[in-house]
Amino acid sequence: MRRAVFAIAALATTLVAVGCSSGSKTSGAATTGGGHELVGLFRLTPGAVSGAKTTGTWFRMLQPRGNPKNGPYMVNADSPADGGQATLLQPGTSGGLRTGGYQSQPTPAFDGGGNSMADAITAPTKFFGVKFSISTNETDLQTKTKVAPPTVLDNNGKLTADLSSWAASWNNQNFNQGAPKPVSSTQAQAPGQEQAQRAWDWVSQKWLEAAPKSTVTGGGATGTYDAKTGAFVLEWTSYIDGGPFNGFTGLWHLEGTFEPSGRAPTGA
Amino acid sequence: MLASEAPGEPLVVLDLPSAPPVTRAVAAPVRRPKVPAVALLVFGVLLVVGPIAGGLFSKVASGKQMIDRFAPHMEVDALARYRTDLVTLRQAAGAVDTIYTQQGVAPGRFPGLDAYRGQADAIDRRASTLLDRVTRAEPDYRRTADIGGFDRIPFLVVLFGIVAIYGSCVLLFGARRRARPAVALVLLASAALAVYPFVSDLHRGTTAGQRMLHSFAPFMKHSEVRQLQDDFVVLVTAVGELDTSFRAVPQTGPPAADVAALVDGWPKISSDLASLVGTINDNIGNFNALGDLNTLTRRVGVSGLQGFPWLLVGAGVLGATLAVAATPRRRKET
Repeated sequence: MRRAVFAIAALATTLVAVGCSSGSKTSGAATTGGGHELVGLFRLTPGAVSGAKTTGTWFRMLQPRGNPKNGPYMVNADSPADGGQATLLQPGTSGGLRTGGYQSQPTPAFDGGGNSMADAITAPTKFFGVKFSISTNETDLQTKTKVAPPTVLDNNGKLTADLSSWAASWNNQNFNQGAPKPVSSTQAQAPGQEQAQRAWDWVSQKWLEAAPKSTVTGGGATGTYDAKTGAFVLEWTSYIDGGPFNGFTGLWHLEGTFEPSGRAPTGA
Repeated sequence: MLASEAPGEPLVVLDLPSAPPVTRAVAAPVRRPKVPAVALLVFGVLLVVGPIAGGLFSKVASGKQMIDRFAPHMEVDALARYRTDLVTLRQAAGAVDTIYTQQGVAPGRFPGLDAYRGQADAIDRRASTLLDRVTRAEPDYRRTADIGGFDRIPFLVVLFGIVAIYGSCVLLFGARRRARPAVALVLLASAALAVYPFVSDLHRGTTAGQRMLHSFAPFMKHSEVRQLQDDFVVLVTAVGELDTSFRAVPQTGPPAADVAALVDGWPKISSDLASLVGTINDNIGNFNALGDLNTLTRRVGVSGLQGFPWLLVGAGVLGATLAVAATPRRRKET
C-alpha cells in the first residue's frame, strides 16, 4: 500500500514537472543549444517581387482561424507583393538586425499620424495606410517582460535564433512579433505583490535552488547560413497574443548577408 | 531586646499578643466570557483566510486594472471622437454607393469595397451599439473609478482580521490588564472597517460598479472582439482600395469629399478602433474577475457588488460587538 502511494506520488510529481516545463524555457536558453553564436549585423536584402515570386525580406499577416498554407492573409493594399498578401520590407538605417544588443524603439515612438518612428532595422513601411516598423527592446513593449537581445546560433549552416525582443509598432500600438514569445507580465497585481514576488523569487532561488522563472515560451526562429558568402535566411511565425490583433499571426522572412562585428552597444 | 543587656546573654522571650488580621475587601472574581472571545477569534481567522483563499486580492486588482485601462476611452473627448469616426465611416459608405451608381462600377472590380458595401450597415449598427453602451456606462464608470483605495480593501479586511485574532487571544489567554487596550484596539479597527465604505465613497461606487458591469457585459466577450476584428478587416481592406485602385474611378462633389475624409482620417480612425478593441480584448479577464467579485458577495447572501460595502460595515459591527461582549467583567456579588 505504502509503495503504491509512493509510486503515485512520484508519478504525479514527474507529470507536474514535465507539464510545467514543456513548451517553455528560460530566457537565454537558446544560446545554450550548441553551435556558434553569430554576433554582428544581419544586413537585410530589400524585399522585391520577381514575377510571381517574392524575394528578399518580407512579412505576412495571417488572419485568425487561418493557416500558413491556405491563409487567409491580410491584404495590404499598400503592398504590390502577392496581391498585397505579403508586405515587402527595406533595410533601415542600421542596415538590418544586430545581434548581441538591442535596437530600441525611439522616443517618441510614433508621429502624429500613428506612423512608427523606429527606423534602424527596417524602414517604416506602409501597412493599411499607416507606417509600421521594427525594434528590439530589453523590456518587450507589449508584454512588459525583460527579454534577451537577438541571438543567432549557427550549427553547420542551420540557424536557430532567439528573437523574442522583436517588436512591431503600428498606429500607436506595439505587438511582440518575436520567437520565442515572451510570457506576459501585464497581469493585474495587488499593491505590494510585485515586491513580495521578487522577494520570494530571490529566496526560492537562493535557498530552495529553484530555477529562474520562464520568461519566454515556444520555439525560436530558424534558418540557414552559408559561412562562405555570409548569406542567411531567417524565418519564424509569431502569434499575436493580446491587443486589437489578438489571434492574428505574423510570418517573417529575413534574407540577406551576415557581417560579423562586435556586440552592439546596449540600447542602441 | 533591651539595650542594657550584655552581649552573649540569651534573649528574653516576650509573649506579645497576636497582631489583628489585616482585612482587605475581597475582589469579586473576574469573568472572561469565552464564547464571544472564541467567536471573535474564529471571525478574525475567517477574515484573514477568506480574502486570500477567495482570491479577493487578485480580483480587486483586476478590477482596478480594468478601470485604469479604460480611462482613456471614457474621456468625453474620446467618446466624441469615436462618434465622429462613425459619422465619417457612415458618410463614406453612402458616398461609395453613390460613386458606384454614378460611374457604373461593376461588382467584382473592387472586392474589398464590394464586401464593405454589403456589410456597411451591419458594421455601423454594431459599432454604434458598442459606442452607445460605452457612453451610457460613462457616468457609472466615473463613480466606480472615484472609489478611493479600491485595491486596498482586501488589505483592510485582512488587517482587521489580524487585529481581531490578536484581541481575542489577549481576551482568552492574556493578562487581565491588557484586556481593555486589546478591546479598544479591536473597536478602533472595527470602526475603521465600518466607516471606510462611507469615507471612500465605496457604497456609491459599488452600486455604480454593478451597473457598469451590466452595461459592459454585452461587449466584454471574445466573440465580440472577433466580430470587431472581422469588421476591422473589412474596413481596412476597403479603405486600402479607396486609397489605391479606386482612385482611378472618377469622383466629384460631396461623395468625393466624403471618401477623401475617410482616407485622410483613416490613421486616426483605425488607431481609435484598434485601441478600443485592444483594451476590450486585454480586459476580458479583468472584467470576469470583477464579475466573480460580484458573485462572491452573492454567495454570502448580499446582493452583488453593491452589497460589498455593507459586508464591511457588518463585519465591523460584528467585530465590535464580539469584542465588547468578550471584555472581562467582575462577577456581581450575591
